[in-house]
Amino acid sequence: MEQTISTTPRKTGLPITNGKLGMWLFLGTEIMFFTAFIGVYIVLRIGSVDATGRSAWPGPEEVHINAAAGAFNTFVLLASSFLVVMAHNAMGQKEYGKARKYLAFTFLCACIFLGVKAFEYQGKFEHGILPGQIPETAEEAILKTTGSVESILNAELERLTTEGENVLEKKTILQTEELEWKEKEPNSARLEEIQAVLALNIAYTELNDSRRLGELNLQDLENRVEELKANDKFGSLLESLHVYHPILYGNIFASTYFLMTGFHALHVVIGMILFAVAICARLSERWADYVENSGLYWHFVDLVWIFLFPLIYLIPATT
Amino acid sequence: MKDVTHSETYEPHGSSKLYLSIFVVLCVCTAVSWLVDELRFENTTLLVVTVLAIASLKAGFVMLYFMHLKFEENWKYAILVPTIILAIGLPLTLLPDIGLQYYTSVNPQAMIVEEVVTSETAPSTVEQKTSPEALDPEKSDAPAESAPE
Repeated sequence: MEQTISTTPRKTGLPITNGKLGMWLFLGTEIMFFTAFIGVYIVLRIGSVDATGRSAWPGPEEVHINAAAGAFNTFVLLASSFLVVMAHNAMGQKEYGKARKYLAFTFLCACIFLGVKAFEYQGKFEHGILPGQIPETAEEAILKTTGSVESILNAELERLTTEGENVLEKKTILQTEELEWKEKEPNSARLEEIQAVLALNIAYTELNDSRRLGELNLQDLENRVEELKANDKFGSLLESLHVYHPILYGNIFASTYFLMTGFHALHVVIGMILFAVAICARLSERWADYVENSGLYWHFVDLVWIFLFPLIYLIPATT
Repeated sequence: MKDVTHSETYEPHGSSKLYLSIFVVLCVCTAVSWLVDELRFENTTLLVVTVLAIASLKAGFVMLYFMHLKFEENWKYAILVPTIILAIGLPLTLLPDIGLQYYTSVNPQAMIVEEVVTSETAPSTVEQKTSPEALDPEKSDAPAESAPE
């Protein structure tokens, strides 16, 4: 029995490859993933008001936001998006060497983006702009500053003596040692170090006591810290110390900032892995879909940044 | 089912020239939004609307040309319309409770009441809100003039 087989198959399904459909469905979930973060950021930012109802969102100087760095990174990502689409174009025209070159430049752009991002993160880490680490009231700022004097003191005690289980014991041990050195060798460097840390201990106790009694305000603290730094005995130990200032809503800023930019940076890293695979492979016709789909993914990463840039860097704090 | 492979689907959607011009437009848009920010408009609502409109324009260009949505068939709506509705819906549903309070906030940060806002010599509201004096309850009776810059 003869069976007629139609040479043109019935057209069903979508006119795109399964891989591309999968990528688009994934990007659909990604849109919702990022808009959850961005939406929450917008809502929290609008809700961050003071008692009078005006916005109290921290300004760019307070939380070390640099619009120029953001604009530069936007440019870098746009350039990389352009390079990806050129790579896709070259794959279609079967110019695989050219496609590889474009992908390599895209990879380079991603590296530059992450470099600038790392530089920005570094600045925030240095200034303590981290979730849960930012004082929001004067009281918290004073506590954090005296706390950092204490940790400098404790580190110095730790350095000078390994004996003693706790700070108190260490202090007693050093006090005994001070007397011994005074008799043996009154001019030794060791004695000077011990006397410095013991003097710092007294200064810290005084500072902490006036904090506990509520006698310290930020201006006083600043003057006191200046005095301590000028002290010829232990002033050199306090070089890294600075007085913290309260940043209203700083913690919620830091949380949302690191959540959004962190997840975005993670996406950049994943994109780099996708491109690295293509660059290392022998590109051929079989790779056309791969380049197209990873390109779609990369454009999405670019899209997210296009919205993060104005929302984080451009819209001023006073709105 | 039709076996779709790349060789069948690849159609030259755009030329390098088109992509380059889109890239230039995107760069100009970025530069404009950065400049708008540098100008420091008095009217901040205008600024917000401008920079977000430029961002949407840029997103539109990237999606239409770089992601080839302009050349795709109608399946694109099936994927994008539901997600975009959900994406816009989420902040809108959260907004009334957290963003737009008709009542007074009771979070500790917002409990700090500003003093002497009526004084002509008072520094700008931003400075006052974040200045140590404004945040220290013990100094709440201090005159605004003493607030450090």
